[in-house]
Amino acid sequence: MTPHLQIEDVSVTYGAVRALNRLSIHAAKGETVALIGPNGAGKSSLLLAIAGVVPLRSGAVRLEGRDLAGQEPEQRVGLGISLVPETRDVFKKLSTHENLLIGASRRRLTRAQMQADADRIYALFPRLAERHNHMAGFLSGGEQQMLAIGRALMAEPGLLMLDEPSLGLAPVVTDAVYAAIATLRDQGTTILLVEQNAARAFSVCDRAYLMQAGQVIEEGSAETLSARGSVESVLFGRSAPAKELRP
Amino acid sequence: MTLLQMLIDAASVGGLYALTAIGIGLIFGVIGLVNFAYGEYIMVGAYVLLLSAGLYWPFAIGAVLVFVVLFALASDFLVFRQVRRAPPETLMIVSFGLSFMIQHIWVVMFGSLTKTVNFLPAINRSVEIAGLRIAGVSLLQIAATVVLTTVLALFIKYTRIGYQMRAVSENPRMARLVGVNSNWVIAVAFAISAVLAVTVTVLFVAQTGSMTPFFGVSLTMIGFVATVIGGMGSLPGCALGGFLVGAVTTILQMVLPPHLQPFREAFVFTSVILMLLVRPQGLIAVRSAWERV
Ligand SMILES: Nc1ncnc2c1ncn2[C@@H]1O[C@H](COP(=O)(O)OP(=O)(O)OP(=O)(O)O)[C@@H](O)[C@H]1O
Ligand SMILES: [Mg+2]
Repeated sequence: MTPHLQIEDVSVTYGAVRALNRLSIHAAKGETVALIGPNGAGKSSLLLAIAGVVPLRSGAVRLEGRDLAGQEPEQRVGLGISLVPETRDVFKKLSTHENLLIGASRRRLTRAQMQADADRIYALFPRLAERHNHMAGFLSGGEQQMLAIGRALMAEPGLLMLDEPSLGLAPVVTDAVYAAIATLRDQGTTILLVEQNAARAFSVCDRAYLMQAGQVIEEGSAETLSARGSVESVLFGRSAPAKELRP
Repeated sequence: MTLLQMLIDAASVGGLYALTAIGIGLIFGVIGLVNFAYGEYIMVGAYVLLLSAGLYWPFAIGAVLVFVVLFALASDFLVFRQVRRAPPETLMIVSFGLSFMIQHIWVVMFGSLTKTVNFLPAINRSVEIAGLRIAGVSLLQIAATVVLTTVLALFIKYTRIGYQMRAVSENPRMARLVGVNSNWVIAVAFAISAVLAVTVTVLFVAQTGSMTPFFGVSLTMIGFVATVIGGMGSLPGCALGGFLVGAVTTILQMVLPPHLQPFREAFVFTSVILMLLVRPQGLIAVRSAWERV
């Protein structure tokens, strides 16, 4: 069966910096895949390359077998790929509700359908419902993260990419975000999750890749990787007992 | 002349300036382009009016509308889109070059001498309202400004493409990442600015009956001044700035002795410099994208 997402030998460079070096990964339909690695490993670059924002130096990104070369970022949204970037980038001067509506830009919806979809996001993140009329720039960091995820979901993505969704959030907010990720996973969305917090990622993912210097250095289920202690050695340059990793 | 009469004159002159300033401010708000060629949208429209003046007037205006909207879209598609990611200085220079090029193409096609046309002379007739004699074209200018500004504000606030415009204005990269077709949104902004330009063209030509390939330049200058006074890119600010420049112009017209009249614009620009020394951020500082667009 063709995987939902297939990355083949992808290289990305910024001038002289090589961010991805002939990297290959894949994700099956409905699978939740984590990408774990230290700063500068190329995790964000990989997601941006899949979203079509940064050009490939070589290799291919395939969605259900189809090569996405030449597809602009907004067209990829139409194909079902949504990215919640590391920087979140909510539209600060638009209201919470307008931010959600704009997430549906690629879909032909009536006002009623759009409202129904927004209501589903509000059910997922009740905090947003309370603030639907606020300018997004005035939301807290956690609320902005929820909004960024909600905005991406408004496109009804088959593949959702999340770049460090827990970064800088209070633990209770992180819990809410991860509860939402678990819900999406259970609904069958394919998820590509970048996390520095390996324990968090392992709590929801089916499989993980360890990345370093633009390459995949290990791959396996959460259990396998934890047992091998590879995560510590990659993230912290030391080995630690596997049990510390368990959520 | 009464004070009320003067206010109406100021408002009608200011209306044209306000529409020009909003057309410039809209494009600046959405893509950060200071479009020097905006005055040429107004100018080329006048020549279409010259050529189509024999038609029944709604058709003549329709011809201008179609031509100028296509002209503005072409300038975006063929020129500005090619340098979309360039820094603002580059964009400005490009638009300056485009402006110059269009003017000289028009000189080649129509000559540089003044052309005259008698378009809708009826609207220059005065009407009497409450003892005041007001030119019909003045009333039209005021009405057009109020209506178009209001419609545009509502459009940007409430329509789907309106909030897409605000999103592109704030963060073009993220707008694409959520699926906004930014080229389409920008094209719509150009088309709207062209509609504003056509309004200025029709009212200007109906009032003065004359044109040269260069008449857009001074309107662009005044439009810029109004934009800057208003706070660079705030639409209500642009409108306010336009009306203020109109008021200053009208007052100077009344108080300056005849031998200083030819230098009226020098006085206008001097007063703008003085105002900016006092309030460099413009009258309405830009606080939100809603205002910026
Ligand atoms: N726009 C850019 N211009 C130049 N170099 C860049 C750019 N973006 C990323 N890089 C470089 O590419 C490499 C990979 O960066 P990337 O952001 O993909 O890593 P990351 O794994 O997401 O790191 P982090 O955990 O810090 O987010 C790094 O060496 C980084 O410095
Ligand atoms: Mg990153």
